[in-house]
Formats: sequence, C-alpha cells, structure tokens
Amino acid sequence: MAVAAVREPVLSVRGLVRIFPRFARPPVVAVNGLDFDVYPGEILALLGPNGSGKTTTFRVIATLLPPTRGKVLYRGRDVFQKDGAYRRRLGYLPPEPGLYRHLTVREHLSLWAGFQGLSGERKNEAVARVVERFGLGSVLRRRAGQLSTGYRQRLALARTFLHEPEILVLDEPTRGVDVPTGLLVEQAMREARSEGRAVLFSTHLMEEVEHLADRIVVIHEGRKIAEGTLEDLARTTGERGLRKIFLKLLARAS
Amino acid sequence: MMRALFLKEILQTVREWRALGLVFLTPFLFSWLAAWFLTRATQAEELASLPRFRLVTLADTLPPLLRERFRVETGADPRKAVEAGAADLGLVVREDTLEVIFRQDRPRSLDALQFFQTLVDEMKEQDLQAFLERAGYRPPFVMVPVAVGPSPSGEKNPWKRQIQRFATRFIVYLAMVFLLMASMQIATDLSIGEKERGTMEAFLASGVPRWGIVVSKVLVATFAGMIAAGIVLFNLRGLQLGSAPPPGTFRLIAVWLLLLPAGLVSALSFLLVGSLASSIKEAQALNGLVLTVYFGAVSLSALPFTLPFMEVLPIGSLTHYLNLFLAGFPVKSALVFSAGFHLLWAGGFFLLVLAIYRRGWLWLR
Repeated sequence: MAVAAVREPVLSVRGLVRIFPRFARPPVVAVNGLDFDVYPGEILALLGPNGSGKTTTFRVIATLLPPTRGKVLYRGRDVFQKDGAYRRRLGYLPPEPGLYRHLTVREHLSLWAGFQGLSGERKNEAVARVVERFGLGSVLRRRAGQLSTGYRQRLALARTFLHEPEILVLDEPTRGVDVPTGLLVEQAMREARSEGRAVLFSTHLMEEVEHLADRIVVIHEGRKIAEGTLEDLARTTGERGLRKIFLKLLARAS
Repeated sequence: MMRALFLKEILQTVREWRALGLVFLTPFLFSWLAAWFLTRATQAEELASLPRFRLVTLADTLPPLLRERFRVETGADPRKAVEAGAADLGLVVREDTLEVIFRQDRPRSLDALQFFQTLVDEMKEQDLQAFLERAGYRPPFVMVPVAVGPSPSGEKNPWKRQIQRFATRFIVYLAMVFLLMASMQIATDLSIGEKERGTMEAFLASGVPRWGIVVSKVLVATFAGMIAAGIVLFNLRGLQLGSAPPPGTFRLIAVWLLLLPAGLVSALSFLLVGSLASSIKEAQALNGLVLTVYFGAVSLSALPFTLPFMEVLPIGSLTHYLNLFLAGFPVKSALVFSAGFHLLWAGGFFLLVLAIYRRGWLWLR
C-alpha cells in the first residue's frame, strides 16, 4: 500500500481555489487552496461533510469547471491547457448517474465506446468486459429509465470503466445501492488499483474507506485539514476507527 | 466518434415523444388543416367581380412566365381564342388599357388570371414602368379583366380575396414557423434539458471534444427544424393558392433548401440560450426574446425591399423573396436574400457561441 509514495503522481491538485460569484450577495468559496496528489495504483478517498467542496473539486478535476486559481496537473501538465487527451484517460462518475432514460443499456455502452474512439472488435470486447464485470448481462436490452437504482449505478460505473481509464474519479460511487452492488463497486475499484490505475473517490460510508483507501484526504469548508493513511490519521488524532477520527478532525477544524 | 455523437443525439430525440410530436405530428396536422381550409376558401373566388386596378407590370417580362404555365393568346383575336378554349388567357393592349380576357367557367383560365394578378402584385413597379416606357406606352395603364362564358355559381364573399392574398404568403411562412419551433424545442432539449436531467456532466467528461458536441447538437436541431419545414411544404404542395398553379415539386424542394440557413441560425441561437440558461423555463422565456429579435431584425432589414410590395408585416417580409421564388421568379434573388442574409446571421451567432465557448461558459456555469 505504501509503494505509491515513491512514484510520480499521475494527478496533482495545486493550490486549487474555486469561487462561485453571486449576484448582490457575497461569493461562495467552495474550494480554498486545496493540494493533494494521486499516484498510480492507489485508491485515495476524499472525505468531508456535505458542502465541504468534494464535488466541486471532482468537477474541476474532470474539467467541467475551470478553477478560479490554482492548477490540476496530469503528469505535470495543466489539464486545462490541453484537456482533450487528458479527458480520454479519465473516467468520471458524477454524483448522479446521468443516464439517458430512453437509451438501452447496450446503446449506452456502445455509444460511450464510440465516444472513446473504439470501434469494431475493440468496442465489442470493451462492452463485453464491463457487462461481465458489473453484471449487466440480464438487462442489456432494457432502457435506463426502467432500471432499478442499483442497476443504474452499475451502468454508470460500467460506462466510467469502459475505456480502461488511467485515472478514475468516482463521486460517491456506492450512494443508494444495495449491498451486492456495493461489493461489486468495491471489487471493481480494487481491480482498477491492481491494474495500476489511480482511483480517487468520495463517500460518506466510513467502513468503505477503511476497507478500500490507501490514503485519505479530509477537507472542511474547502480546505484540507488532514492527509495520510488510516494509521497516520489515527496517530495524529489519538482515536481508533475512522468515524471517530473524522469527527475529531472536524471538531479541531471548527 | 462523430458517428456515435450523432447517433446519440438522434436516438435521444426520436425516443422523446414530445419532441417527435412537435417535429412530425404538429406540422403534419396543422398544415393539413390549413391546406384544407385555404383550398376551400380560395377555390370559389368570383374573379369577375374584381375591381379595376392600376397596371404596374406587363408584356415582355410577363408572357414568358405566363407561357411557361398557360396558353396565352396575344394575337389578332384573343377573345375568340379564349371563348373557344384554345387559350387560357387573352391579352389585348388598348391605348392606356390592358384587357385580360378569361373564361370564368374554366378553372384553368381562372388560374391563369390569378397567376397574372400575383405577378402584377409582386413585381417592382419601377422596372415595369421603365420597360413600358421603352416599349412606347404611357402610364397610367389600367388592367381590365374581361369575363367571357357563363358565370359560375357561388356566393360573393369579400373575405375570400383577403384569404387568398394571405394564402400566397402562407406556405413559406408556415414552414418557417415550424422550422423555428422544432429547432427551438430540440435545441432546448439537447442543451438545458440535458443539464436538468443530469446527463450533461458525464457527457462532457466522456472525452469527446467540445466542438464535436456543439456540432452534433446544432446539426441535429437544424435537421429537426428542416424535417418540420419539409413536412409543411410537402403537405401544402397541392394547395390551390392565389398564385395558380400550385408550386411545383422542384420549387418546393428549392425553397426547403433555402430555409437551411434559417434553420442553422435558429438551432445555433437556441442552443446558445439553452447552454446559458439555468432551467428549461428560463430558456423558453429567453427563446421568446430571441424570436422577437430575430423576427424584428429580419423584418426591418427586409423593409427596403418589401415596402414597394406593401409587405410591412413580418409574415410578408420574413419570407418575401422565397414567396417570389415560389411564384415563379428566378432563384437568384431568393438565394441572395435568404441564404446570404441568414448565413450572415448564422455566422454572427457562430462567432458568439465560439467566443462564449472559449471563455468556458458553455454549459459550464
């Protein structure tokens, strides 16, 4: 687990600030000088209470929002300078699955493979791989609007993993799913790590972080308040169990 | 990649019943109804009761257009030829009068008279004056419709003339309205609609270049508008209008193609509005504003050309040159006005979208 520290980061967030201006009201500072690195072959959890800036950070990393200040670097290059190539190496799961309710599962996967420039046999192989990995075989012909919450999340994840991205950014990947689907997601994240991919995810389930994360970044009101392995955070706070650690860190920051 | 993008936008559009209804069903039903109504309203026109009116067009420019479609007799005894059914229309030039001889019991002859009237209405007065003076005529000229043959039955209805005149402007205008409505609906659905449904985020982060997303959405919205306009034109192709005979298939296809710039303009502008709005309702309100500006600007800019024809209302000026083209005028003027003007608009909107896109505002607020 600690091997990642000696490698070059695949993704670096440097001094990230994101401010949302508002008409006739003070602006909202969603992210305020955030710094962290993500290494290949590691799972990094971004923890924080609601409204702490996790989703905004993910959206900036996914190039959906330009930063007000600071940079997001992919292997040392600013992702907003030439974001096309970077986006093809990124798999982003938004907080909402964002599925087209009139398209079938197969159409979703086939179109997404097309967006990534996959065609012919390569496309079929990629689709078959994620269908098997996320157990979508029985619902391939069903429209997304007819799927259960769990299957919707599986399809959204399958779409994210489809092109075998180098970096996975997953915003609450297990939100609202049942236990079997949750396990499937955890398994997929572990496999991605073993394949050398970098996984950055957020969640409110502390057990999930304890099981999965190699390192943890805790943010509060847009600022980083702690970073390290679970052991590092336990040592810093003198608490056992991530729930207690997290609450103590928040209490200190407040 | 572009194939996948187009396929996604098309599938998304054709599986949405509301969009389909607006693009296919509404123009079909509405134009069908309009065709039925206008045909009934214009068929029984009592042309013999038309008043005298000032002649503003004639002769060498007129016979070729008329002769393409009708048998026109200008020889020694046009009246006899019309009465015998050997000619649809007879023209006799007196000292300051043109007699237009027709048979009021023959639909073909009535069509010819009506077409003649439309040309008189549409052509530029000064061109004709110049021509007539060169030919040795002195203004004013008076056209006298001379009815021959038995009078057809049917009651006199003063509204029919108005309806007929309106109908001559109606085809292209109706097509334009449905083009704008359909492209507005689809562009709104493909922009702010996607944002509201939460599908835009994953789509934007999917690795597809932003220009590809913009191009596919613009083209699909334009295509939807063109389909709606095509349905209207196809449905109205057999409509008996003031300008007889009904426009030919070639002219209707040409008019449809000439609407393409307007389709591009509307798709681009509605997509721009949809990408900047924060909700579908806001986008719809802003689209109303865009339509007002668009109609107003087009009408005002066309005013110098359309004033001589007394077409100061948008319904006339917006589609003025396409109407002329439909009535039998050469394609050049319609092409110059419609394509040139609308492409200018499209270019302006494209630059605006590009500027906003480069500022990172498009869909990213």
